[in-house]
Amino acid sequence: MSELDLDRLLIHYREDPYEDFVVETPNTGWVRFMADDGMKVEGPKGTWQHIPGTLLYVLERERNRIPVHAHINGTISELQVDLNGKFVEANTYLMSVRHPMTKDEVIDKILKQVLVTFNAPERAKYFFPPEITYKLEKKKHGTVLVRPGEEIIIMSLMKRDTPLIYNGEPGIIHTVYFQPNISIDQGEPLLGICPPGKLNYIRKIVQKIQNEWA
Amino acid sequence: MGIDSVYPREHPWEERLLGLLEGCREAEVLTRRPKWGDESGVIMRRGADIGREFFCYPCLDRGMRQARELIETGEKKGPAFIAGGVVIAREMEKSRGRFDRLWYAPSGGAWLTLVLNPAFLPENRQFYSLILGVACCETIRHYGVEANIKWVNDIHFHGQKLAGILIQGYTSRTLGEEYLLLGIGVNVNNTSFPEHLRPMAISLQEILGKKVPLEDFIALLLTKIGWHIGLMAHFEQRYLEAFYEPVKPANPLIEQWKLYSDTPGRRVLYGTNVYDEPLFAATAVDIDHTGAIILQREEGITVREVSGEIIYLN
Repeated sequence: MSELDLDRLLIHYREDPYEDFVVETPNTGWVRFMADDGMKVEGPKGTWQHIPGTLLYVLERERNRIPVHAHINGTISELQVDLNGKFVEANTYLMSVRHPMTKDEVIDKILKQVLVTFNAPERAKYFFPPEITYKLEKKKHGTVLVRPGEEIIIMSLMKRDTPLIYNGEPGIIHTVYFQPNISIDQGEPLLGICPPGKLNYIRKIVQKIQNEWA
Repeated sequence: MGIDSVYPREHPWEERLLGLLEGCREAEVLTRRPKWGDESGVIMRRGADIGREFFCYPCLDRGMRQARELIETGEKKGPAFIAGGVVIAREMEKSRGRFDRLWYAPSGGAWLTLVLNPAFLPENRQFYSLILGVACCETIRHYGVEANIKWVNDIHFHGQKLAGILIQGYTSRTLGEEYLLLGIGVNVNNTSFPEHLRPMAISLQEILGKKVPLEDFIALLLTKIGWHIGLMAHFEQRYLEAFYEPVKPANPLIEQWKLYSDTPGRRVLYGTNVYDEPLFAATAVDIDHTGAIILQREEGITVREVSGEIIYLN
């Protein structure tokens, strides 16, 4: 894990405190836009993220109508208006959602460059095994050590529970990115693991961003 | 101390089961022939790994633990544990379900743990849960009992639980092989339940008023599981062949599940661990092509859940 040029990163995020989320078609079909360029959109809401975000577009194929909603709040940019009403291929770029980052999101984004992330292998729900839950509850935040070969998370999909084995370097569970009752998409980070010797360095990063990010 | 000296296996039972399984498979192919024609033999053969080897014990603490131990012992000897092996116990002392819930497994019930290598495409592995539910329900219905499936795969008779299913993934310590452990418990001839389970549980013997030959039941159950695994593999092949076609073949498992389930249309309580932490009440609308449940919430919002469990409210 190389040390970051934190000052440079902070200047970069201050100048451009946005993240662009690309919106592409998941499959072929007829596109009908439901949002305009520059329009503000909302991501999913509710305790379990069960209220869908703003409707962005509808993709229709073989009379199968798929409404696609925003996954995050922000402003629509680069809307490909010429594609409205057209038949498009899968993975066609339709628009971006320009999302203003909060302080916590900036911290997360920077930490993801220094922490080793443990990602979701499938879209499923995830929860900790009892031993890890116990350790996380009993020990202070940032002191639960995981070693290679340990079962650290249980992946639950359609009542098939699969313990996931940690195979990375020994480290401390620094950040838990998932909530047990919310489905996590494949590839999304579940845990941020920090090598024990780097814990102080990571705390300094968090502190510096907390102090300097307006 | 070796495994066999701790948990003596019952060789005569194992041999009997192998014989019964052979007969059940032949009968199953004949029964399926009107719908599936000559393909029925091919489908049955694709699921013929199930019951390749039996490990029967008079008493175990937990079937899952025993299966893991057999995998590790087998892998240390050389070749990986044979997929399709079945651990059977006449009774189990410390059996558990999901979230460490107690599962009462006295003598008289069918207590099995199947060991499989997950052979389906990764996106189809969730179907093992539905396969076990459908196979279990079909086996019970063979005896004239109109059991139903509650999503995902709980088998009940008028609200009382007849069978429970637990599926766990397992990566072996010795060779790092991936396995699926499929735990199935069916209340067949066990008629006594602890007081707190009495209102919720029932056995086949109690419904029918007579005993069901346990070996016959187990052989039929394994045959049905083998059939549906074979059918899923068959569907997977046809689906891949039609990958670029505009119309894809429908998954026969979903159709079969809907036939046996009484979930669509019910008011339910949903949660990841619904008994300890119910999350919300909703109406179960349907399941989609992936087996996920579609729930209509009171706020008028429809959600799709790929995991979790439900309790019927009506």
